[in-house]
Amino acid sequence: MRKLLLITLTAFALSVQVDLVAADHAHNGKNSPSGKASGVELSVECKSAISAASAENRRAKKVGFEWRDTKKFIKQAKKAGGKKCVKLANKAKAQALNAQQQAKDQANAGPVGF
Amino acid sequence: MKKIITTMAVVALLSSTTVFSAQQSSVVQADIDAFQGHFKKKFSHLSLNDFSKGPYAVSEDKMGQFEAVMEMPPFEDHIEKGEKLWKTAFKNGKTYSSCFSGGDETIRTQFPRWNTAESKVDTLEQSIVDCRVKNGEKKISTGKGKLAWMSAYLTTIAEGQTINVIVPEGDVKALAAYKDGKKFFYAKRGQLNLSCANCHIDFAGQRIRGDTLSPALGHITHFPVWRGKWAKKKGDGFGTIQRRYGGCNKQVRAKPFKRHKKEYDNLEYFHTVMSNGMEISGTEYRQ
Ligand code: HEC
Repeated sequence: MRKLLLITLTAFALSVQVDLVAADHAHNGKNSPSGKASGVELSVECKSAISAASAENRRAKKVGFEWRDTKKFIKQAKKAGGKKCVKLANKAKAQALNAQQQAKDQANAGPVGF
Repeated sequence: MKKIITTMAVVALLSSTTVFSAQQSSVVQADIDAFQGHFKKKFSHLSLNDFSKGPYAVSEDKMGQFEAVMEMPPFEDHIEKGEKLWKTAFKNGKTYSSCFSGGDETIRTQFPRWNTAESKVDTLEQSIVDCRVKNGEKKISTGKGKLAWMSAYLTTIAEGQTINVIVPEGDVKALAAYKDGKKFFYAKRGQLNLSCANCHIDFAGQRIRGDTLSPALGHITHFPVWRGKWAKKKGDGFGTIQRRYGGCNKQVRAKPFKRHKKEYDNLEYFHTVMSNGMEISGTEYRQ
């Protein structure tokens, strides 16, 4: 009985440790430019497309016109990797540029017709 | 001597009232007249206070739905909860009322209010949170839940009070905040490239999917509202005006702003001023 308990406890301790290590990895993955937590390296094209999109979206946010889904596309790009990554990141960047243009167009917005 | 004292007292009284009730900016008053004039002309069969019924005011079949729900409002328990919360003393023995002036029934229409000392707009909801913090209590979350219930209680007891939000004449910063809110209202945003004004002025009264678009006049006379849609999601159905702003921003695929920051506070300032002269209609149901 005692032995069984010990084995169970050890197994439990080990699994907790494994969890912690995994969590640590995931955490690193999130912060590092390589992006994916699963360990798949993102291509150079993907990384640069993502960072360009993020920079433009920060500008859109700064002028108060960020669109709802732009960040979501950037996240999806990171997750997708490969060719799809560049496509999604470029879509996000195009949105961010449109949002910035919208801010300029609407600089003097006011009532029309009264 | 007696005469001098009376004269002095009268002068003091007069000057204190002039400070208290600052005059409306003439620029803003002209905006109010044009805004309300537009709606009165477009919906000439409606009286000013009729506009508080929002989509129901401009759609007869929807009005039936509204009246049926309002016969037995599904939200009364939460208004009672709000009243209880409002009247429960903090650990230090003080109550919410101690943070506000005038009778509780007058509090709703004192907001949004220009805060000269801090050069910003004070909203009722943020002032309730600030009151808690001032009295050593924890912050509570905004938009819905307890804060919305208390605010809804204050709206319920304010029924019949007149909205009269002031942008003080000659106060440059107050006018700038108002203009900021005005621009927010008229600026197209989001992927759909639509402004508040597009939907709630230009298309007011028209149908969009299952909704009839409400006129912007009278938008704020009945908030927080209880919405069937919000009750279906997690929560109890209540939402403040700034929760609604977030929803309407998301609808056009624009990123919503944080509640009770400059953007929505200034918008609430402009948006409420436009309904000056209307009465608070109490907490109401919305689809
Ligand atoms: C795409 C059109 C659209 C745009 C743009 C839009 N709204 Fe709305 N809004 C709606 C619809 C639909 C509803 C629900 C029906 C109604 O009350 O008009 C609604 C409801 C509201 C209500 C609730 C009215 C009530 O009586 O309950 C308020 C307040 C409101 N909108 C404010 C705004 C503000 C402020 C903006 C700009 C930030 C805005 N809306 C932008 C479509 C829009």
